[in-house]
Amino acid sequence: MRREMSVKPFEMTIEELNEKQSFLSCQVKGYLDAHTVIQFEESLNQAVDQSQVKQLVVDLGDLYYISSAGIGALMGLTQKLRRQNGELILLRPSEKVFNIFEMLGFTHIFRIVQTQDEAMDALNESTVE
Amino acid sequence: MKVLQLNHTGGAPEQPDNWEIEFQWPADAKALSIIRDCVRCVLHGVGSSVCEDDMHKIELSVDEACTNVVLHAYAEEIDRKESAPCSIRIAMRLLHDRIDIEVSDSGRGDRLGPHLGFDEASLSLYGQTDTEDSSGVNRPHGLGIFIIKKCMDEVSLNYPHPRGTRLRMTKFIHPASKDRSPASPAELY
Repeated sequence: MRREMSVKPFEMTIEELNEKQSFLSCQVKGYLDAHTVIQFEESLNQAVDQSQVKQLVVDLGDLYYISSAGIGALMGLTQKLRRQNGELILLRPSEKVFNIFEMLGFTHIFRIVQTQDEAMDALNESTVE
Repeated sequence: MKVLQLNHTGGAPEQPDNWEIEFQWPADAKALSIIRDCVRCVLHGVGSSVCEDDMHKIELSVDEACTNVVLHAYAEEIDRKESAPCSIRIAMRLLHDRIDIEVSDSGRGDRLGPHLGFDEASLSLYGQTDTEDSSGVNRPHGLGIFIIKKCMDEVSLNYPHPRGTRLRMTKFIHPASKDRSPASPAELY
């Protein structure tokens, strides 16, 4: 009898918000590896392609693990949005996830903020630039 | 998962505990989270005094090695829709001062060759080159090996005859603080 492998949950929500300015807001929960990254990448690319908004805030507060697959997806999205004069903001990554970004030198590539207010400021700056 | 081998030597005061465990997994991305859990359980379960930071680096390195197997090793078999078993073999040797891990497969190892190029120079050039794939995304190649080299103390990669890839890596242990209590399942992440 073949038993299906159970996997830990991965969830994400994406919505367009209008505060000081319009932006896409994405919340990610669980882990981001070579298995879950497919849903993550497809959903975000689709949302970006369908929206006129090219500012994206990804809340990593409930993401407890990330591997190269997830980091690669974030790099790809960052590049894609910057080509369209947009920006990807990473909001409050957990210590574990931030330490990986820092060890690899990706804190110089990603725009990382700790609070929602900082995210709004970063969006405003990227729009002005 | 299939446990292929489990050996324990030592235990006497003059001879530290040594553990060897070898297991086999399907080369399937769905297995990655379970492999990570298993690696953590082995590291906790044999009482090794690995600090949380090193634990995470070992977990991540095994994940990256297995991801490379899933993505690259058996692409030829999958293309041909062969029914041959595609598996990942993980061997861990836990010594008092180091952990040796070998991740191997029996796929076409040379598929991994072109993807070893990511390094600090690539990082500094990020955004300056246009290498979009068909989805319009600039995807770095070789990031997994780059991460493994950052996380582990020794890394070697070779291709045994006639096929397959064998990645060996070593982490020298930085002992956890002595007051750390055993991890509960909720602490595994």
